Amino acid sequence: MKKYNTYLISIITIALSSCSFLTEDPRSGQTAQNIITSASILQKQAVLSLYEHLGSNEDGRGLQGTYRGVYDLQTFASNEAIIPIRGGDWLDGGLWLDLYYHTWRSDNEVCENAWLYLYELIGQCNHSLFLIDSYQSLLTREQYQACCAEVSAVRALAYTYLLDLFARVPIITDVNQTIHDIRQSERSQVFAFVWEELQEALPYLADERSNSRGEYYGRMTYPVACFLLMKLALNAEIWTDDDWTDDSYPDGKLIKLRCGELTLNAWEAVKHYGNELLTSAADYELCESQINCFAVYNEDAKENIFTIPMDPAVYRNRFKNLFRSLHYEHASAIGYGGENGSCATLQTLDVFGYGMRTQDCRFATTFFAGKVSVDNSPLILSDGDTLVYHAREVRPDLTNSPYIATAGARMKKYAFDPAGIFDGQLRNSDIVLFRLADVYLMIAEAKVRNGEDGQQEFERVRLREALALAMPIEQRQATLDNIYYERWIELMWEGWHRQDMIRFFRYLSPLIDETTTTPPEERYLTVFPIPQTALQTNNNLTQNKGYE
Amino acid sequence: MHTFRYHYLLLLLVFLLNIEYITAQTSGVSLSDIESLESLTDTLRVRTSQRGHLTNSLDVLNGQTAGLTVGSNSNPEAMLSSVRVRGNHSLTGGNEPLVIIDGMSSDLRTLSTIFPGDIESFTIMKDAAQTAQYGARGAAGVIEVRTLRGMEGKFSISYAGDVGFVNADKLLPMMNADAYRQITSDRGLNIADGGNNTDWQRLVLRTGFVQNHHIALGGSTENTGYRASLSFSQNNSIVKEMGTRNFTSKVDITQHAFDHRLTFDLGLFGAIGHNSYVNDVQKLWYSAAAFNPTFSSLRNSSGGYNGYANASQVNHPLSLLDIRKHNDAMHFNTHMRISADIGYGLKMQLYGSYSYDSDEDSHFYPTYVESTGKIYRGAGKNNVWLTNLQLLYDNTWGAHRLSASLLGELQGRRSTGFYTTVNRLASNAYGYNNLSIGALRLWEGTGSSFEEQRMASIMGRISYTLLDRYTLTLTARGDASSVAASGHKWGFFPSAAFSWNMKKEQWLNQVDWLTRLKLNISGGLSGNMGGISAYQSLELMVPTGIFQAEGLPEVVIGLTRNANPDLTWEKTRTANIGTEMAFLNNRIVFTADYYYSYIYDMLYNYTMPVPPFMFDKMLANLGKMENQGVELGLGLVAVQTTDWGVNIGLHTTWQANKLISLNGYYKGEYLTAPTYTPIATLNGAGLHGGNTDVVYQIPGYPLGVFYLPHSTGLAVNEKGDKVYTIEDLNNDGAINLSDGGDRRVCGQATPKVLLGSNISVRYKQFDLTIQLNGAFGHKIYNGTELSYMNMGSLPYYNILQSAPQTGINDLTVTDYWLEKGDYVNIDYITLGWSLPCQPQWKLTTFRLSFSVNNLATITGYSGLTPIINSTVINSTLGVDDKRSYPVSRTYSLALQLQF
Repeated sequence: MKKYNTYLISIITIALSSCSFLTEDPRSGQTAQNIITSASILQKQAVLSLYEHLGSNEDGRGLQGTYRGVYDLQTFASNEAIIPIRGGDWLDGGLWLDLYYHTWRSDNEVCENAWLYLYELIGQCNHSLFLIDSYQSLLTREQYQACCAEVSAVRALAYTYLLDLFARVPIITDVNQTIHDIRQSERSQVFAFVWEELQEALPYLADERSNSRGEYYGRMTYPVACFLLMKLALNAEIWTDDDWTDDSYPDGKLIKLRCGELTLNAWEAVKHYGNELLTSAADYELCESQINCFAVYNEDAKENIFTIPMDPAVYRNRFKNLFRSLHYEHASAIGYGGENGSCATLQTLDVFGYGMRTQDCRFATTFFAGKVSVDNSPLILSDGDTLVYHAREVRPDLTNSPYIATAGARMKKYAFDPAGIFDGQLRNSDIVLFRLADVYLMIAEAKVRNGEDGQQEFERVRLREALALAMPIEQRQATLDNIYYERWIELMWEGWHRQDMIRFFRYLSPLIDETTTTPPEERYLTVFPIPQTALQTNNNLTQNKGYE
Repeated sequence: MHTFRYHYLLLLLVFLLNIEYITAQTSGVSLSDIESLESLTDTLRVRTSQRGHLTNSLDVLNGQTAGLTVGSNSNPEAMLSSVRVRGNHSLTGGNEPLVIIDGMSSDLRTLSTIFPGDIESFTIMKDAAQTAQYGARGAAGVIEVRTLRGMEGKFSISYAGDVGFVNADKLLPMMNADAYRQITSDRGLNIADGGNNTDWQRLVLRTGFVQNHHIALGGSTENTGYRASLSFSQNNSIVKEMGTRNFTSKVDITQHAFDHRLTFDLGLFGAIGHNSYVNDVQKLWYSAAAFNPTFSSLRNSSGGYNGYANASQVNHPLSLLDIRKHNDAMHFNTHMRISADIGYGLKMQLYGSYSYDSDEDSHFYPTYVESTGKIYRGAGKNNVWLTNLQLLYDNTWGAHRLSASLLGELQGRRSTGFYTTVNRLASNAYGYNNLSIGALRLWEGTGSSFEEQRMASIMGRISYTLLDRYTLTLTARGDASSVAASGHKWGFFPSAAFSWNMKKEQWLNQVDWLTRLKLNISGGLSGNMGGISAYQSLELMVPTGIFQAEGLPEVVIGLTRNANPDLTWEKTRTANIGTEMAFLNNRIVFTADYYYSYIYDMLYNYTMPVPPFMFDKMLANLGKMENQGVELGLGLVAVQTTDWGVNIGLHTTWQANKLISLNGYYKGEYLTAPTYTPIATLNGAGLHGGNTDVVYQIPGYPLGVFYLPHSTGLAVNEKGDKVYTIEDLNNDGAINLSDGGDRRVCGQATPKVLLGSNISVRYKQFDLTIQLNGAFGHKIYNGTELSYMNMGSLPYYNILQSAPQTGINDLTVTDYWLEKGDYVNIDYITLGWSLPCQPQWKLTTFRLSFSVNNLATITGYSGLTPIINSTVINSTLGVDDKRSYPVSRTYSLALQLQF
């Protein structure tokens, strides 16, 4: 009996002292304290790791390159491009036409993806700041300040997109905040927060190029932050307006912004940071032609400011924008894959003067239209016809159209990379987020809005292509209208047009005549709804005006 | 058409009822053989000889007892292999019943590798009092399997085997090449005409081949018993490239010592399997149906197939068959039990078991299927050990009987794995056999994993019986899991059961026609931690991607999920009341059970508010769900004479599930869930995202309900196309197809009533067995027809022959294609003949039989088969979306010998 009692006792002892038996000992995942053991690891894992989140191989994530995320809201909710229904393809439950017609609702998948992605990025930044604080003993004071500044600036980038897309959003800066703490701030408060964050960070950021290989490749440097400040100031009339559905909005000349030691109005602030950028040690200059910015190896393009690094052998980031646009057989003829979707709208064709004597010389580098040739011979389709993109035949629903598969001018812009793999989604060309042409156009616009002359900056961008291609280009004055159209042409496919339409009060659904301004009943559409899931899981949040 | 089929169903039911009526009239013949009625109690004695061809041992359970749902493997193309005891208990995946094979803890996958002929019996345990023995591991029910051990007293050797072929039932009536050319030219559409007339469906199918062979030998002396067996089975399905081979070997030894006071049981089991899968089941059949029928089935000059880029959602069907997806599985188990009889009614058992599984997966994607080609190789290993010590006490004094037991148990599981992928293959000739043929190794293509889980349990049970009539059993157990968060690891789970053997009461003793009457009541609390991966309560950093630091690639180590430092047990309160009755010397046996279970602190990957959470999902204990059901069983020995025997078993289950809430408290804050969570969605051309969700989970409704816009019919739109007219359900003057808009709940995906019936007829040396299974009260979304009836799919995708006549040009997801899913399936029919063996022969059994599996399905459902996933909560639940293959029917001939 004694023997069995001993067994029994030992079993009970094991059970009770099971603390270590039941304690988990993970190996293929690790807690932070096992990883962050040196300053170098802390800098890499808390700071540099954030840039991995800017691009993605998952739809809904990344700033550009994948489907159904931030870029799609900026592009397909504008009148720059459309994904029409092509018979059995691209209906997708009405998703794409909801963006085109501005008939989205609060359960829109793309809005929800953008919200989740941007707040995850913010969460990652907050976690990084938490790590930097927890392990600050590993860092010198200078290193600590530089790390914090860089992370805060990346977080400000994410908040800028939220400010643009959703306007009234919760500001969260600490990993320990709970649901109770999550309340929306007014749009002007979010603007002020982002502006101040960047002001705080600016002195500690490196004045280096971010688009070239090297230590700062793909990172938030001083010029990148200046560009972001320019965007904020340029859109300040819109982004500091707490009620974007009423008739009034702040006047940019009266908006006072702290710019380091100075206090400037919105337009002066644009010029100020434009000047900072142009005089930066990073030494930017416009490329001879826009196409240099989108070359296969565009790390050397002196015009690019901020990019998502791409390299099929290294990064996961995908670039699906070409894949989505090209006709199936066009793509397969060049060794890619294509989904025969996105194309230019009729308005875009008009703005480029497509088919007219005054057609902008950039049309040919921005789009595939008309007869398609591959290796200098016309592309013959499997049904026997030659592939012709019928640019003017694009309609929202092409079902039953004879041009069902061929309507619409397709995306070009980026150079063909023969080394691209996975249907051409993994390529060498870095995805361009910020570039200098935009800087010049922003300065020109700010000058005009501030009552000055922006002709010089306007023409630097407008005339360079004509010089490069030795083609004539129509002489235009740097008026607000002309700047608007110039931005449309120059920055086509780059995810800026929605913002521009709103700033120029031209944001309206395509059902309304193009020449009118945003009608009052559509003003609420300049901001996307707070996603339904976010509202349902947090009762403290309220829906944006017009979507209640 | 529909009414015709229902008519059949009705006839069948009337027929069954008549048999009951007739047999009730012919009572009076005494019966001793009640073996075939045992399917009514929860122990199933396996009599594989009278079964149709068995793909694996899970098939044996199909339709055999109330409350047990088996998603049969016999139609793996359309349905997942799944086993559920009393439906779904949890949302997380801890829904598979615990499998105990000869006392060792196992799983369904291992069970499916055991040759059915090696199994003696299955015992299905359903309620908390029954499963208390296994605690948390048995939260989703327990299937106890006893395998055959040493045969009493003599040596014997047996062979059982069968050989058969499998063919396909009806195909989808897609347009042939001529009709396709005609309709596209009528509509002015250009097509790519390959000049052929190809029936892709026929080309991806073949005549399947199946065989099973099993040899067992065993014997025993007074102190030693042994049994050893070998088996081989092969199953080549009707889909080319899809098949399995399995080889098993099993040895069991029993040794008694010290006048039977000490007993050793030792067992070894090993299985080696080779499986060949179709890479993407849906894509293959979608392609076979919709790919351009004018294209050639021959290889092109470069060895691949000419694809059709415009039809981007499908591929050349034969090129898909060139994808290799092979799995080599190995399973090894050994276990030992030492039982000691100490005397004074006290016994002790020490038990230990160790299992090792390994899987190697090898995939090859030729360059003409996947851009630049791809090879994937991966291996996974599982080590599971379990040990327990049990003290048992049993004693009787006069009218009192007391039994008690005490159990301590420890269990561990360690899983490791690694995989690698290469792309950009220089040649297709190497298959997956040489990874060096790939030029590119993407960062995300290679990885490895480690996971370990441990459990500790302690249990005490006491059972008191008075006068052999009243039994009260009380159980208390504590379970701890390493997966639960620190400070939340232990759970306490008590249960109680009361049983009243009424037949033993004096006032029933004299009632001759009543053979048995028993009443059982039980209730208890159980915990569930199944289906959860380890480390969920810890904030772990894992490699998530790649970036550059100082010009060199560097891996990001970051967070990928929300950790839950409060993670704990899911709990289920259950109550059960049941009765067992037997009449006329067991010629009629009737059982009835009602159960109710209430699940709270339900483990689920809840939608969390972002911000403050970084990710939108977190495993937590918030929601509530309830299940209830009635299980009825009826067994009838209708005829029992020297020459004739007719036995009928019929059981039916009514089950109801309700998701009560997904809200709850987390760290003192009340979290609310989104109202509508999609589960199953359609896909394919034009069906990517948007309002294409079909099956949802919505609090207040059963898990898996159809939530769809209502179509009132078809109407001609301004373009002259027929489109679905959609009702403005919320009367706001506009049609809003999104969740919360013009949608309504219109049926559930899981059956309300399940039916199983086994009829066996014996005449002299001949016997005939029929198994019928049925499911009722659920619906199926016919996404296949939604896609293939859409004229808008032309010219790139082929359509159904009947599509032009109907003329629909619309792909909007509405309830237009929601159909009733009721069916009765003739699972198998077996005709056997046994040679009457004479006692002086060495041969003791000689039996030949012929079986047809999956003979017919009686249904009103218009798709290929109504037997689709109606159980497992995943993206295929209730949705027939281009992945239902033709039903396969197996014809097999079996031989059984024993010496």
